[in-house]
Amino acid sequence: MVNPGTRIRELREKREMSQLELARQLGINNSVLSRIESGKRDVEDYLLVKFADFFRVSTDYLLYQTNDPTPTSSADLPETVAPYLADGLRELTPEARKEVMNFIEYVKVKYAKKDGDDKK
Amino acid sequence: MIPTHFLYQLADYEGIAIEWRDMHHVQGIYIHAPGAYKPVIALSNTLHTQERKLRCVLAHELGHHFTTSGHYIIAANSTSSIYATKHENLATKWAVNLLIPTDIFLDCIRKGMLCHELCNYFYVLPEYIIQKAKQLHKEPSLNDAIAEINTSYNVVF
Repeated sequence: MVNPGTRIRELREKREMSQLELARQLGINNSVLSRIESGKRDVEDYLLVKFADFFRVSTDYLLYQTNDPTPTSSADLPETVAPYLADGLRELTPEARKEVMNFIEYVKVKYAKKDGDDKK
Repeated sequence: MIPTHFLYQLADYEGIAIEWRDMHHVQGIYIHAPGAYKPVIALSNTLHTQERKLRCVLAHELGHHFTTSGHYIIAANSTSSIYATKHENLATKWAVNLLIPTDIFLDCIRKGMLCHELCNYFYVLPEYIIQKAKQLHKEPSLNDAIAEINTSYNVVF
C-alpha cells in the first residue's frame, strides 16, 4: 500500500506549515505526525479523516486512490472557496464557518455577474 | 481620529458593497468572488453598538481589499483568528496604519498620552495600539517612543 504520509507532507508543505503547527491544529502529538509523514507509522482511520477534513481533500486522495483532491462529502462547498477554507478559515469554529458559508451563498446570488456585465 | 464615515466612503469609492448581517460568530468578512460583480464586506449587526470595534473590523476588511490581489479572496475575522494567517497579518497591518497614522501617533506619545488615552484618541481597540507599537518596533529610530508605550501598556492593562 502506498503511504499516505507523503501526501500529508505535501499538503502541509504547500500550506507552509510546520509539523508542530499542524500537529497542534489536529490535536495530535508532534512525534506521531513526524512518524506518519515518514511512513514509520500507519495512519488510523480516525486520523486519516482528520487530515482529510483539515486539508479539505478526500481520504481517497490521501490513500492515492485518486489524484483528484476534491472531497465528495463537501459538495456543498463552492469550489472556489475550498482552498480558502483550508487557509483563512481553518481557525474558525464550525458556527463561524457556517456564517461565512451562508454569506458566500448570499453574495453568489445577490451579486451574481450577469452576462456582458463585466464591470458595474 | 479618522472619522468612521471615512471608512464607509472609502469602501464606496472602491466599489465595495457593505452588508450588515445577523452574525454572532464572525464580525467581518471580505469576499471578492469571481462570480460576483463587486467585492462585498459583511459586518455583524452586533457591531452597530460597538463603534470602536466596528472601526477596527471594517478597516481590517478594507485591508484585505488593498493588500490582496485577484479574486477568490475570502477572509473572515473572529476575535480568535484576527492575526492568524499571512493575509490576516497584512490586512491588520494596513488597517492599523490607516486608523493610527505614525506621525500623529508619535506626537501623542510625546505629549505623554498613555495607552488607554491613545485608544480613545484614535478610537480603536487596545489590540490595535499594541499592534502599532509592534510595527514601529522595527524602526530603530523610534526605540525610545516604543519603550514608553510598552511601559504604559504594562501599567494600564
